[in-house]
Amino acid sequence: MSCSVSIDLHEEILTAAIRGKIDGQSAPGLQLQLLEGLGSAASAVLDVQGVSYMSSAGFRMLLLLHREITTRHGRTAMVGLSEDVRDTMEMTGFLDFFLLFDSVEEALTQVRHHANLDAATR
Amino acid sequence: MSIATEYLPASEVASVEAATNLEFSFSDTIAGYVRSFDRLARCFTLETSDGREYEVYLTPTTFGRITQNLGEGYIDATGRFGEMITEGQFLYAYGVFYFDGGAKHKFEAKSIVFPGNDPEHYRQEEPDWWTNQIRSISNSYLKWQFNYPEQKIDYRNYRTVLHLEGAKRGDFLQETDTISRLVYGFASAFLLTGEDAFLEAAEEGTEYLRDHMRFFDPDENLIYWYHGIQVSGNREQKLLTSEFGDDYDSLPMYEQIYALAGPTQTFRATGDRKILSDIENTVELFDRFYKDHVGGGYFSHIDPITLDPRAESLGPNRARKNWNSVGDHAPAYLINLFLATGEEKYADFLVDTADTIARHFPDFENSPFVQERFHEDWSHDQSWGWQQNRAVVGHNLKIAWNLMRIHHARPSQSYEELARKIGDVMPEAGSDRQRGGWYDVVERALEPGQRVHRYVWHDRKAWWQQEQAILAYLILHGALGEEVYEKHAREAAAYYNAFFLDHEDGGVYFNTLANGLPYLLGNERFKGSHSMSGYHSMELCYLAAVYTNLLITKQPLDLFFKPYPNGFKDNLLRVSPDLLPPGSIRIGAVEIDGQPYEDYDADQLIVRLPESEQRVKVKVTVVPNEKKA
Repeated sequence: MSCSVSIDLHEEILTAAIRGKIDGQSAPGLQLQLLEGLGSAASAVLDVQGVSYMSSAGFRMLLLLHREITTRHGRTAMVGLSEDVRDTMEMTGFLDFFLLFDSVEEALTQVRHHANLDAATR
Repeated sequence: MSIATEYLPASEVASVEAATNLEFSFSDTIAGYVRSFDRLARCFTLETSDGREYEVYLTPTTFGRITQNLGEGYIDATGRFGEMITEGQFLYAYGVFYFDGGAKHKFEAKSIVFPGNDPEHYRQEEPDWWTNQIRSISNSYLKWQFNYPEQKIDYRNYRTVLHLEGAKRGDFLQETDTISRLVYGFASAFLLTGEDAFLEAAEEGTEYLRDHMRFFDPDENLIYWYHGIQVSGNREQKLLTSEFGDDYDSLPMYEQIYALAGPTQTFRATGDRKILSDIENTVELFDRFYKDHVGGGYFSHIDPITLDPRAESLGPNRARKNWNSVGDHAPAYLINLFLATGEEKYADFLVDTADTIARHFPDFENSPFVQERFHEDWSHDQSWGWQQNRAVVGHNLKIAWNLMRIHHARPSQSYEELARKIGDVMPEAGSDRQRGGWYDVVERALEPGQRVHRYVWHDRKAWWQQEQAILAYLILHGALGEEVYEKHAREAAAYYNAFFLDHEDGGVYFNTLANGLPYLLGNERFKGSHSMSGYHSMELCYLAAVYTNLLITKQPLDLFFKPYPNGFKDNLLRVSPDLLPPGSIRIGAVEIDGQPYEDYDADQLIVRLPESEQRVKVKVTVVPNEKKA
């Protein structure tokens, strides 16, 4: 497989550190691992600092993951998005769906903050 | 003879009489042709479409009306029964079959609908009938969706679900294919009426689809379309995969095909190159990911991540082909794309579509209805979801209609033969010969002892199925000139115009009961829904106007365009309104911005647009090549 992922749960938030290439070959397996890892968690922080390439299959996988998380009223955060990938996500029009951060810690803090706000307003 | 026995030969009468025992009174509709009228007895004989006769009694309270178009007032005929109930007059009589204890029910009419003033006059054949109807429907949707003209046309306000009277329900899902289908309606309304508001609605909708529903794939350099977006204030969530039960978590071909319907019809009027680019890139998607390059045809679903039609994740939709994926290209966008561009590659695509249908869909040894779901190797799939071994009546008629259209672009005896065959067998298998109208979904096969293909969920009649019948028989009659097709076309259009037009709230009803009364419950109460969004009703108006005027009643027809400067290739505006019999029509006159214009090829139906830095409005009068005898 051209990519690997290590998964952890932090207080109902999935953190996934992804490495390698996300393409048509690796995206289906990665999606399966992320959905299984998500379990009952509502939000996800995807650390993609180690991702060297993401094809459109990867974008579509992200979109489906985002839909799943939205149905759980959660948030999807991405950490360390490369400029190339960021540009493409902007071009395809769904960059705005994701919270973007430079570090996992910052992402976890903000996702928790959003979760608390959402809970207070529901 | 009792009511029940009239369907059966005399040899079977006795046993059925004993078994059915209709010893009660009930109401129903009879559609038929007046054969005689006994004025003293106030009773006339009515012969149904398939040749059975009934006696119909008038009572002091029987009332009558002549079919009115949307936007017209009620046309009373109660005082004109003596003059209008004459030999050959087609009409609908709704009344009560009274059981008075004898061997025969007595049918007393409560209301009568006449499709026209006299036996030879069907109002749907008036030159402006369909043009006036599309104007009314289009105005209704402009009002309902955008509160136009009080407010601007803004697709952020578009909602999928509209109540019967046009009010919004408060849902926040905007579906790509549903918006696109409404855009198709608006664009068709502009082509036929030239009203700028309709074009504005079509162009705004196309722009909205491009900005919000389009996924440009930079890796593959192609386009696919989101299922839709969920809107909430200024926020929107894009939904990549279908939310519908039949197609859940996949990219169904149907949705991608219909994403092109509205933009393509808009392109015909404008030549907007951005639209053409989107269409070309989407067709590229079809070719690379949906097409079965080995076995032929197109797969119905692909996996959203791998774009693979054979992915296990697709479950019951894995490696399948169906009517929508194989044949719906033609009516949804492909014919219009060919008409607008004249590109032979699109005619080739149409031929491939028609050949695939002709090769795999007929199954006359087993059913009068085509087989419309397949496995990858074209073996029949008769276990899929709700379809099982069932027929959608309208798909059969749609095939006949579109085979005739493609036949006119690339003549093939096999297309005409199959269209004729379907046209010949469908009335008995899929229509209501007693009350008029066309059924919905029926079992393809008869069980032992059955004569009637069983109605799967109900015996109601949906608006879009009527449309397919009207267009199929109009084009069969218009192209082949045979009276039997004229009869079916007239009957189908008469039923639709008598019962589907909503004169209270505008637009058309979704369904009628078998007897013609509107059915107004559940989803079928809506004017906007996933399936109903102004597409079929306005497509019908546009094409019925074309076929009726240009092929049948031989009247001129005006069409309108508003091309962008340097939009169409070589500045050539192709104005053929549809794929009609070769040589059947020509351009009679052209006006540009209200002034006569002479630079056109009448027989090729091409206008050479003037050099201009502004958009111009082009009015083209298309005329039939022969006068009605």
